[in-house]
Amino acid sequence: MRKKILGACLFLGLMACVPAAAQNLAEFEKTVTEFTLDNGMGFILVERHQVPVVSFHMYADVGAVNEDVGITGLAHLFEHMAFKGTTDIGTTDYQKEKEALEKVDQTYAALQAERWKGEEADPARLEELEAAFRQAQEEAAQYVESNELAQAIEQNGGVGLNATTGADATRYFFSLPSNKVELWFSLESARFFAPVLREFYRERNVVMEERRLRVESQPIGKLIEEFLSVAYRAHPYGRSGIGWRSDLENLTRQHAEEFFRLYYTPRNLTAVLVGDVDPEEARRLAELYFGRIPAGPVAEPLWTEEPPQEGERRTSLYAQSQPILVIGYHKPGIRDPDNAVFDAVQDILAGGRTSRLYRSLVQEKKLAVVAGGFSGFPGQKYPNLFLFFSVAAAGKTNEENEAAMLGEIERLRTELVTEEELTRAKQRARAQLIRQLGSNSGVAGQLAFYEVATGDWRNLFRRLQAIEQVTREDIQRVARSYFTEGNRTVAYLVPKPAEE
Amino acid sequence: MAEELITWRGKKARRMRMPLLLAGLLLVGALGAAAQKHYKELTYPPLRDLQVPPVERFELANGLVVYLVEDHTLPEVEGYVRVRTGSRFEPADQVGLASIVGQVMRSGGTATRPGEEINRLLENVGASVETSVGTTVATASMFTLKENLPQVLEILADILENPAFPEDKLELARVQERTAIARRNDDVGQIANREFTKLVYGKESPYARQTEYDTIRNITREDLVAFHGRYFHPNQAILGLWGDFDTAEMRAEVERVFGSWPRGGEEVPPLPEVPQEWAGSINFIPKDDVNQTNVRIGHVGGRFDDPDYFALNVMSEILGSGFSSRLFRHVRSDLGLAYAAFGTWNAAYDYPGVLYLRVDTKSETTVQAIEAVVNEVRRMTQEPVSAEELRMAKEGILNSFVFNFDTTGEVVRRLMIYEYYGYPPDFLERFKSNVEKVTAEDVLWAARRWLRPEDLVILAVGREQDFDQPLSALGNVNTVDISIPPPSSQAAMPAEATPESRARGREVLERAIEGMGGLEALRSLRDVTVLSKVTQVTPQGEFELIVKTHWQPPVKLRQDVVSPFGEVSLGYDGERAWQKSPRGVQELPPQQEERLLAAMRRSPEVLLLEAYEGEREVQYLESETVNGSEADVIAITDESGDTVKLYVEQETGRILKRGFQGWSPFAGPVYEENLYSDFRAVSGLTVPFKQVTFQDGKKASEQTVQSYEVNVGLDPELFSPEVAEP
Repeated sequence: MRKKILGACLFLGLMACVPAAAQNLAEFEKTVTEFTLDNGMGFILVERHQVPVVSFHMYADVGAVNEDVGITGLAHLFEHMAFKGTTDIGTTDYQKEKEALEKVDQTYAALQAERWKGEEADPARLEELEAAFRQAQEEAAQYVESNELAQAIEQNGGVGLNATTGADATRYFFSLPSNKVELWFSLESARFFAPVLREFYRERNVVMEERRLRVESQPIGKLIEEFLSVAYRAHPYGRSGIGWRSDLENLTRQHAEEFFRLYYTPRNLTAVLVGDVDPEEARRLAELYFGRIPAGPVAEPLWTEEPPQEGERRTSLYAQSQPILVIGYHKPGIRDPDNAVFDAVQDILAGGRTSRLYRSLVQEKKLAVVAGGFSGFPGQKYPNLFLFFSVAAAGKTNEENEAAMLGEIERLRTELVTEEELTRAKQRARAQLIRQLGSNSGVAGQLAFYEVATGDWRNLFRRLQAIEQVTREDIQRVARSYFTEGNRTVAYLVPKPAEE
Repeated sequence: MAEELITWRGKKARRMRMPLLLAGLLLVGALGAAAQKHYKELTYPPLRDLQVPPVERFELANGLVVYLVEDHTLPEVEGYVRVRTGSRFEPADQVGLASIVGQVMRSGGTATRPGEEINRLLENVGASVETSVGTTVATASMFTLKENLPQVLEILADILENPAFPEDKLELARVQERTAIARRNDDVGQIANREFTKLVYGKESPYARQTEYDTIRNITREDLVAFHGRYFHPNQAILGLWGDFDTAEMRAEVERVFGSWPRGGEEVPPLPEVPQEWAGSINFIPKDDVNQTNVRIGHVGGRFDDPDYFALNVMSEILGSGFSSRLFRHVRSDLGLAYAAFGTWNAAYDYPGVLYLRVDTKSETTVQAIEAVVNEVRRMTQEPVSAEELRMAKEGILNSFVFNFDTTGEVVRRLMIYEYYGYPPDFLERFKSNVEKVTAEDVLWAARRWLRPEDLVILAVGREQDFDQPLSALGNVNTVDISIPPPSSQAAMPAEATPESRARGREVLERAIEGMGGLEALRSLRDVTVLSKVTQVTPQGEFELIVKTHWQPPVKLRQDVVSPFGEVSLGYDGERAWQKSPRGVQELPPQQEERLLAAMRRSPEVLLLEAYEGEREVQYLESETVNGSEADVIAITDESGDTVKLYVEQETGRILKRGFQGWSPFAGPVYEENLYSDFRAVSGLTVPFKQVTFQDGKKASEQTVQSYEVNVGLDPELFSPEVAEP
């Protein structure tokens, strides 16, 4: 389908014909090569030969939304497991390790079965099973070459190695000197071809620490978890992305393997390479390395839709922290024609020092030290939330902030924004795009996102045209249909009256 | 290239260890047209030469050093400025001055362009100019699309040369700073980093000290103007520009825009000393509402220009940076103790940096994790790193070297930084060739010279009751007080009492004692039982409480409170402070106990008697009108320095108002004022039946007394939590 190789540059030598300023779509397209492998995996290559480096971005179209109740946190835990190696990376003897890992699974299953008896569980038996489980893990650990995959990347000069898991997607990325492009193909294809989920239960502990770090010890993290669970009734956007603690405690290696089998299929993977890359050679390597991955099953789509909200929802979280306010309104997903209108709203309300929320809440009323908002939380693929937030200034309350914030939102409904504001939003969108194009890894991430979430990477550029079309009336119309009281969820972080 | 040579050597070494099976595969691969290669079988062509864009450096007549680099990739121009100053030069009683200068330069606009106009001019064209002043430097950054360059460059120059520092934007900055102070204990990671830095450098050090309400209040517009006038001159500044321009044209443009900036200013003062003292300590900060302990470990470090730096950099990679490091492997991967486990030798350019190690672990493995990290530091000084570790660390540093050049901006900024700190422009190349030479012996030598595993500063922030072992298992524990010092200004005490003010204070004191019913009535006060209705104003709104108080002066107390959220009792039996709710009885944490006792000791009955007996100092301050009545204001100060102001009505000797530094569960430290009215006689005493409380000028509560009894003979058991409310 996407097999056309664009531009005649290839035949003329690489350096000569890369345009100097590829900031518009027509120019940029000349630097792009895209193709899809027979197994369904998509590739986008962007040539930029100024510096001999390449950034890689693997975008897996799977995220926390693909988890069921009971296995929340699995998408993220799998992301961690994808650094654990393969049948021939990260192990000293895979055959023996395989047996040892099966033993770990068996002892864990036995332990779980006993634990699930609850009150009736036999303490002596539990202790015995725990010991067996520990013992099995230690046996498996002796075959592990710790972090070999990541070490290979770092040692070869890889930088920016990391991965993220969001509600919609899981991303794996790093950059290499451009003479080592094949290293990426070799390692990245191996980890999605024959991953071995070794050290699973140890890594589960690491993820629980991450949960403690990001959520349980962070008032704002707790507030967001609370807020989302109130804003959503049905759609998985309402669930904790990092996973509820009790779910994490019960995840097994089998869960992760099944999740991998179902969702990490080539058709769910899109790779973007940006930098000093030769498209012919890259294509050859793509076929060679990623072509070996079988197409695999087709996962059923997520069909749960969030029912319309019919009344304001409010919640609060007590914490030893100064007040924070979060307000959300349900809105459509990124493919909705009004998406560009929401982008313009975001800029007018929350973009920079001229934005309405900054001027009103921070600068003039001095109610907040930070006040902002953004379109598209916690994901963008499905209908999501327009989120507003404010961090109260010392001595100011959430109530005062909420009143001022709602005042600004109401103003969008009752009066048209000024011409200057709308023109500024368009101008800023253009400048921001150019700024984003400055970094290879940034471009790789953006293209991958637009390709998968909107169906075409070109929408990164077309988004500008869409914003260009937005009118003042569009903004008022959208504000009137979505920023309504009945469609609103409000969450307060309330300073805990801990003392006296 | 040297970089490739090392890689090649690495490959060769690995290939010799390659199992036969893989070697066989390699052979098959070589015969077949193509086969996937295991990463260990890969060979790479040499990296093609890097073309670093030419850099033009020149100096204007006024001393401004300029760097220009053309980069036509995108139609934009970026800029960066460094000015020789920093918060390390601000006075100790004005901590925050430099930072506020950085904020208000930009937000306040210039003599000819108000801040809001600059905001509009820039944002209407998608451009930005931002300024800030950090510890060792002031910086400005600029971004613009090419077509708007002249205007944006002029704005940058105007902000640097002619900031207006208007009062309203200074006040906005003060609000931001005060909020940052009020919020600084909200986030446990922030607490740990800040307090660790203070422990390493000393809390008064310009490299560690923090803003306080008082230091912010001490900053005036004149100070901003003076700070700017002293440092912001072209001969103290370096300007870099890169992007889509022609160098010759840009040079003329820089002359035009910056050429008129007059020379001036003074040399920066000598740099503050950093004591090279190593005194290990184990420090603890209690934080009840977390289930993970934030641990920081380290000590004073070194500079980039230390000859050992290259070996230390390699050591740092092996010890704590990245996926291959010992901390990541042992503490995170093998032990599963942490998500965050890393450490670095953080060198600085012109003062000693810090050895910084971090592990965040669940409360139950705190001591285990600390020991694991300390052991890794110790091991560094005991045995040489393995050849494999050394090779991997060096290859990692050298193979990624090209990324030091992957954007033009970082090339320009780096040259400016080197010039700013007096480093040679080829410092990075020297770094590379020095790292290439580092041996395992060098690493051990440097580690033994610079790491002090027995003198580590260890800080843990968390819930000690859940720790695997008490921290004292590691040694003597110093508990760090992070309570936020309240603003002292509002108490407005004269620095020294004079004989006159003491004598006059004594007169007013005696009048107040008479006004309350006389010395005898006060001395014979044994107990007080009060039933009152309280309206509490909280961030969540107002609510009503019924409070029954049993008080035996000075400090035995029981309060039973009925609130919309349920019933709570609170007390102090002379030994311990407690709280009782449907969930059970809890002892109050020391800080809260202290506040409870302090509150009782500030009650007028206690104050007046203790001052009369000479246990507290009293002095006259001034006279003031309270609720339409003339009142004399006296200050009563105890040994700890805690001062309470009493406003004594001249005509009656009644206490109309009390002011002191108090505490709000919602806002932290506040200046509290109580207004008393509706005075009634109760068994020989004259007491107010109404009390309105203000905190930092905002109404916090209103109390109406329903009944007031004295000397009813309270059962001593009442003050312990075991007894139910009578």
